[in-house]
Amino acid sequence: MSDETLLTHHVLEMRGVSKLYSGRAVLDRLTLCVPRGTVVGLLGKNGAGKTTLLRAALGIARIDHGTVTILDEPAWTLSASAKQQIGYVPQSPQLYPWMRVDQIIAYTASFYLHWNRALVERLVTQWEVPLRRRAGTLSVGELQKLALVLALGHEPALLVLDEPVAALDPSARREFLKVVLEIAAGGERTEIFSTHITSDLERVADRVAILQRGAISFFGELGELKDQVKRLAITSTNSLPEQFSLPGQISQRIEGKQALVTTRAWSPGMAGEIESQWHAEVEVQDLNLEEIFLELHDA
Amino acid sequence: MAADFLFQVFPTSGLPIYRQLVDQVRRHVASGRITSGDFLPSVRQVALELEVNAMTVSKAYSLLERDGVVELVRGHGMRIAKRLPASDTLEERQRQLAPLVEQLLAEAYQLSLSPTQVQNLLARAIKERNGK
Amino acid sequence: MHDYATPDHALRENALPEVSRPGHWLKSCRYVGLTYLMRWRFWFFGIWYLLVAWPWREGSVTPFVLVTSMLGGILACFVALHLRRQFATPAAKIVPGFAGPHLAVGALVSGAIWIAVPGIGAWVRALPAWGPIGAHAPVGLLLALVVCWRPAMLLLAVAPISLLATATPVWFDQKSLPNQFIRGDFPEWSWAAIALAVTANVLAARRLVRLPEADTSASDDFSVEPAEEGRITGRWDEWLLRARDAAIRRRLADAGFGWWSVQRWRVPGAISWLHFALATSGGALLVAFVAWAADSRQAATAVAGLVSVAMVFAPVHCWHQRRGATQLEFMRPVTRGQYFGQAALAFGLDMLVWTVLAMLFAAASFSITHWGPFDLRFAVQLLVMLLVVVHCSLAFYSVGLATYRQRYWLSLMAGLCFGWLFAMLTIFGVVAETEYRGRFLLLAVTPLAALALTLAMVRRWRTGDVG
Repeated sequence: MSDETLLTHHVLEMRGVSKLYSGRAVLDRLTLCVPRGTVVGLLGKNGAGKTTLLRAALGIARIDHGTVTILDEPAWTLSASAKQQIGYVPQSPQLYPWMRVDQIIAYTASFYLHWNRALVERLVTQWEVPLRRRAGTLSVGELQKLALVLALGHEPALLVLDEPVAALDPSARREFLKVVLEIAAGGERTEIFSTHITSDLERVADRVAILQRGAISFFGELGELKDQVKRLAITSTNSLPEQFSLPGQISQRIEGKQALVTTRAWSPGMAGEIESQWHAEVEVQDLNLEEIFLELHDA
Repeated sequence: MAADFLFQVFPTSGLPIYRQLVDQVRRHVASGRITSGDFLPSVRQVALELEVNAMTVSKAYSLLERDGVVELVRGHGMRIAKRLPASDTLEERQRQLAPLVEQLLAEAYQLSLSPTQVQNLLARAIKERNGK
Repeated sequence: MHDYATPDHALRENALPEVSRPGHWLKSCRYVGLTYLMRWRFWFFGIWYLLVAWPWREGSVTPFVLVTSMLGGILACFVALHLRRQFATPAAKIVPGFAGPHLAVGALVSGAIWIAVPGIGAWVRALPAWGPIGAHAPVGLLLALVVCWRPAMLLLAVAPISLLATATPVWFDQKSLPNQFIRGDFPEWSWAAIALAVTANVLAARRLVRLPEADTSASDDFSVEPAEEGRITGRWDEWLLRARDAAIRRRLADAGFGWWSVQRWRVPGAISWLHFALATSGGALLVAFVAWAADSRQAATAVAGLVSVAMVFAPVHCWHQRRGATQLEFMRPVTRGQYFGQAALAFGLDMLVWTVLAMLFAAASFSITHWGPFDLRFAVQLLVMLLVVVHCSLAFYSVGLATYRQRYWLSLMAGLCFGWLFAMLTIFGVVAETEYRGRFLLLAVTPLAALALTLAMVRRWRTGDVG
């Protein structure tokens, strides 16, 4: 199998997916195709539907329209063997409060055909997960780590994480991100994680999907996004007209001879075009993911 | 060579990580910190030490390879290539340098340096570089 | 799991206006009052409470007081949980003037429950006020206790027990001690009780203001095992949990053997012999106590029946604690149909075990309390008892499935209601004094209803969202 075919093979395909909660469309004809071996960061405002998207992708939540195919199977009727390949960490994982951590781990392990005990032990030591304590006495961060260990133990081909670092302190977050990278190394595993913290995404993800108004407004390589979305400070010799607009424009502010325009279709030749068309000087500002996200949402 | 001695990336900057890596490699080559024949650290090593996605690093390396700055040596990794003659025309290359020249002149103006003084500065720098 | 039905999210306490002036103070109190009015549980139990407190009949006051204090106790627990939920938020510490209106309205509601309603009842019946109020002082005390320590809710079970323990002679005897107390013949004791309750409430108010932030999503429910952050110190029932650890370990060791596909879902709820022993001996003690205190066979039998029903409820309680983990369980390597089918079967097996135990207990206590020559009536009564247990079991099973995703107290109440309903049907079906033979058909109502409900629920789970 050549690299080409591997790359175009989708581990998750959602087409035209809609989900309504009491009449309101949380997911609205959404399409998302995640290639194998990528780390996809799902970015969206709080309440945008990231959790719903992930639950629909895994067949936990029922969709009202569209199709979801995960690991080549329809998500709603996932087989047991497909689930052997999936690891899921929900947003606020709840486990059995009265059970000891080591028992929960052993219990989860009993479900899977393949369980890497050495890996689990390493993670438990590295993350200082208290084995002898009961799950009900763990803090939120420790619960998150435990849920992550449980999801990693069977070394799934697809790892789905819902706001995995929201409750972790910065050093724990860094450690977690390191593990995310480790697992993804070599392009064998696919990871999808949702977050509203852009800085984590920037480090770890190679693709970003932006969920806005129930649909994916951007899905592609993060580098591409940063290459294409730029803010331009334009100073013209003449007053700029009101109909002044640029291709792929998201927002603009015109004050006399100066304009601040954000475009999502930036190309290297654009500066020269603007300069010649409008007799202006163009200063190109790079936007990081947070600024891009804000620009896209304020539009 | 250790990756974090060579590179410093800012994931939250507006510049994509791969571009930062490409720029830094070019800068190191230009300043002489790494010369032709040196090997760049492996993709895996860079990804691990800088804690970034390996595909990003791999993309940077492919771009550098495409531009002829590095070449792939089987079994060893990426090696800085010998200085190949530039593929762009003279005018193109000069135009690429133009923004930096303008920046240099703007700074010199701020510092109240005369054109002669700037030219002397340039001559001295070139002599130093050729001497190395 | 989201509770989209919580209405006072809309009236989050941060919407309080500045509370410096009296006008604003009243406005805040109105907002706070709305948080009570917008929860249907307060309406439901409040109206029920008032209805029960109203019909006053001549004769002994005791049974009414016992019933009203039971309902008042439930209401008090809800109010206490509501208050805890309000004060365990960051807003409680930061918003200026938060405590005042909330405590004021809380005190008002609390007072309405255990002071105003009995007080009005006293006035209607021309009794001294301190009598009934003093009798309801335990309700006020319970409220204060639950505010400080959630597991105190278990004290709610005391009411039905004492209801039966003080059965027959005391119920209707106008000269009995409890009756005299309620009529206000011991003012010192009444006032002492009232003072105790008031003090407890004041202390509880102080505790509320200092309540640490906790995860409030679970703490608003009757479930006695909240996951509170930072509780590193050992729990009070650690020794019981150790027994469960051993049971879990034993069950895990059976992995792969026998009917493992169903058994594995029973691992988290594994119970050891210690729990069975405790339940049985505790129940026996209770029955003995009631038999001695009330000196009545009926009372002892009733309590034995109650204990059996409580035993049958135990697996529902256990499984309800697990519902948070449904999503994670579902993502393990099982298909949708397999998961729900196996889980329902596992739940059913747990129910079966406890039902058998409950039946044995009921039979044993019945035989002991009705020690005497064997006759047909004895056999019929025993049969009725056993049938009641079975029918309650079926009711709890199906209701447990149906209310799996609801609040715990809903499961409890619904289960108890249906269980009681079907128990009554059973009793009526077997022992009614009528020639109509078809009444035995009533015995089939429960199993059929339970079956229908179970199938409907499993089907709904299969086609709906998980968790």
